[in-house]
Amino acid sequence: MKITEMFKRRPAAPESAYQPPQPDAGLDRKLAPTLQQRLSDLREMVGNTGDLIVNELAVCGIDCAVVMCEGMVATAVFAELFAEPLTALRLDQPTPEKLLGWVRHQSLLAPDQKEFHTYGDLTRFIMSGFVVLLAEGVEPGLAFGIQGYDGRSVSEPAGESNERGSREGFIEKLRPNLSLVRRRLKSADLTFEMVNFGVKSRTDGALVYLRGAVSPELLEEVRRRLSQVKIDVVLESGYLQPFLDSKPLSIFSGVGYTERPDTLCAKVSEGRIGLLVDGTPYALIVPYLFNEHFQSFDDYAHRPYFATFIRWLKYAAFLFSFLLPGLYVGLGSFHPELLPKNLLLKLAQSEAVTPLPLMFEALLIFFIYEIMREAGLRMPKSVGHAVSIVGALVIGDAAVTAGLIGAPMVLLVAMTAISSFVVPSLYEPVTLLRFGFILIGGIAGLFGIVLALCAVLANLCAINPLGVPATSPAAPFSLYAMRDVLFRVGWKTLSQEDLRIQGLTGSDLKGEDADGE
Amino acid sequence: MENKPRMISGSQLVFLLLISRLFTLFTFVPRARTAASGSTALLCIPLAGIAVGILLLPSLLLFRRTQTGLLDCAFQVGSGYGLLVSLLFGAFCLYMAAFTVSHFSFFMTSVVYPNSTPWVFVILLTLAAGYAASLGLEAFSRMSVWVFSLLLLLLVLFLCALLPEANMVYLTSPLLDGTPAVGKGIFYTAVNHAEAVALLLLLPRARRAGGRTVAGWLVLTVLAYELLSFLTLTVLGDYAKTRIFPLHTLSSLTQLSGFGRLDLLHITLWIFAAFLRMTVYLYCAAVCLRRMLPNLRFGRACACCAAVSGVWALMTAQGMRFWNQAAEQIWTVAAPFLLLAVAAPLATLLFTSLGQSPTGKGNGK
Repeated sequence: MKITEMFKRRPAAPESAYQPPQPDAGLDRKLAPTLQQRLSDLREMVGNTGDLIVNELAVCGIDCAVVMCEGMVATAVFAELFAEPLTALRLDQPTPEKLLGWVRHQSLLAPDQKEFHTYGDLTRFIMSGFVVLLAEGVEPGLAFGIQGYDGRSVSEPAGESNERGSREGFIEKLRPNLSLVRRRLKSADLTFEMVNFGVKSRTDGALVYLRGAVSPELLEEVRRRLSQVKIDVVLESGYLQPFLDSKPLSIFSGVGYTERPDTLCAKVSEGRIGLLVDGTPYALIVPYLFNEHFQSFDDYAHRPYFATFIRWLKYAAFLFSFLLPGLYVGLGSFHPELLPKNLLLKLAQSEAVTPLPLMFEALLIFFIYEIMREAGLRMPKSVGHAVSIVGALVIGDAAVTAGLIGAPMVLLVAMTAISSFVVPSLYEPVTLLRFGFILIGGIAGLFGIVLALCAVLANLCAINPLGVPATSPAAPFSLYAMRDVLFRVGWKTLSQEDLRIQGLTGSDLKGEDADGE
Repeated sequence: MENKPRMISGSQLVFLLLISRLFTLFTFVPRARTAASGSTALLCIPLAGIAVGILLLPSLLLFRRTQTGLLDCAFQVGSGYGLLVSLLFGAFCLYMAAFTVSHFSFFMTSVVYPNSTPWVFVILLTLAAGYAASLGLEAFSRMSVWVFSLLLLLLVLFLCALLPEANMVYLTSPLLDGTPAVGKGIFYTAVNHAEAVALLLLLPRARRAGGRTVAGWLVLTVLAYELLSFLTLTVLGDYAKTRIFPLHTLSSLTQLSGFGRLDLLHITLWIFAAFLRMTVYLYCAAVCLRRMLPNLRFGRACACCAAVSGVWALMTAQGMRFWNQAAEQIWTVAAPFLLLAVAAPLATLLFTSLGQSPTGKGNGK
């Protein structure tokens, strides 16, 4: 590129040949007037799929069809609450309108009952596990929510265990997840706004927020961003995360996640928005501040001084997890004079017999550790012990005995690995940063490490998830919000003033001059 | 929502400029003929702070009247004048960026990495600062809060460790060298407040900024300068005059029970300060460049400024002859300060007042 071209306006991007995913054809068409035509259209739309069940029957002499998806409906409930009352129904001078009126006003075939008029809704309800009733001579179809597909029951969250709080975690099914939240927040302000993602998958989701607490501007922005999701298939909430993130290429994310309904409730009550997606046992939370990675539900059950101690422990563990190996390499390679004499002698003694320079030794052992971690995560549980044995004996013991790796380096790996699991939500950035800091420490020593730390800090400070600075309330400073950052004050103080995400200094979710410095 | 430029707080601006200013204390070379030394310096520092406050009055008055930045006002006066002011400010910011990185690499190659060449430090620091500048003002101004915390920690540790070592015998009468020496010291210290130029460019981006922000910056700078100079003088005494970096010597001598030597902390803070200072000046230079070339994207403007200052530093860092000569000629330091921080705002204020009716816009708060 010529230098002069840098100063010219960038031309508009050429039209791409890529066509965004298109929804299935004919979804917005109205239902056909005759039952047979509707069934024929439906079969054509779903391509005679094998799991479509169509039961044609006459109710009081009126031709009807009960349509459902195999394996998606609770069979016993269907038989008892739906099939039996419908087949036993007797109407005087039956007409399709009378049948519809009976279903609408005189029966309760299912608590969740919806009317629809288009093929799009028809297929969506069927594929979501509803039982659909179509009758000859009446336009709307009726959908009954008696889903009963198999799934995991509510169990303890695997990634966010705690000592004293609830043992319930989100599961893959959306509706039970909504009930887990509702049970904890019985406020009339709690709203579940149903949304749909994926042009083909049409995955159900729910925005969770507390009216009165959430900023309307924030809500509008989240809706706007989610409306821009043009993906064929959404199988996991992680697919949506980049659309909510303000700087998707940043090391840190402004979108948090939790598998605990109580944590989601706490966040929602602070004016944040949760997003539950069918098929994902995690809720996304926006906006998510950096200090929240260090908060856990137990903090609020413990006494303040212990909670504060744990909080500091987590900060230290976070710093250890990405800085310690780099510092060890940097100080050992470039600034041994800065280490205490006895420690230096011990390190020199063990490193004198190893063939690799410190930086390569560290890179090698952390690379092996990441391979073992990944293998342990993906492989069947039954062979997990083998990986542990290989890791502990072959890498840990044999490599040191053979003089390939120094014993302090093994100790460092152990400390760093354990520390990185103290704040599991930051594991991804920490792992990458660790390698980066080892490299820069080995190349430029302490100077490189501090400079890289500057760049990482600047990167973190540049994140403004949905208009709220990620480093808030420390920078920009909000005194009242700091009560739960470095120290966790007692509940008597915490309860004096509610924290609202839009009330933090530097937040864009309010008037220009509404913040206090 | 997240793409619109944000305002920073007045305190963040104060921290940013304070850290940037303290960098010059780290690079303080007592043998420079123009610098006041010893007890005279202790007297000159607060008086210079007051002098800078007075010299900045036209800028504050201009800001109070128009509530816009100096560059905006200059362009309102006339596009030619605006371009000239942008060019002068931009060139000065590039000069200061190159100065910062050169001095920093000189320190690193003199003290921390004696076997290295300066270009490694120049390139790495320029890259990192260019990246940070491209992230925007709010990113590195928020970062300044963390660095300020580190600075406070260092000051407290210094005080704890060094106060028992302080020897008041080194304190003499500040007027021992005569009144002209004091006057010269005040002048030299005042015109060394190059951050005043950055302040003029950044002031419009700070919420509720004005006289209090400037006063806060000057007071904190004077306090930090006074404290560190006092410790250097009373602990090192005449030995300080023989050292290239007295503050580093001071930190190397410091032993604080379990904490050990403090030079590691000092070097860390030094790198942070150099990074922030370089970033501030690159950002300001990029702002000026974009005023001259509005179609240029900000990221590219930062890259251009980083490249120019990096090349400048690479050409001058080896041997430091250029910078030493510049430091010894008082007018090479004083002229840019007086021109940009005093004369340019004063001229703009006059032009603005002449071209505006008394009921015109911008009556201030």
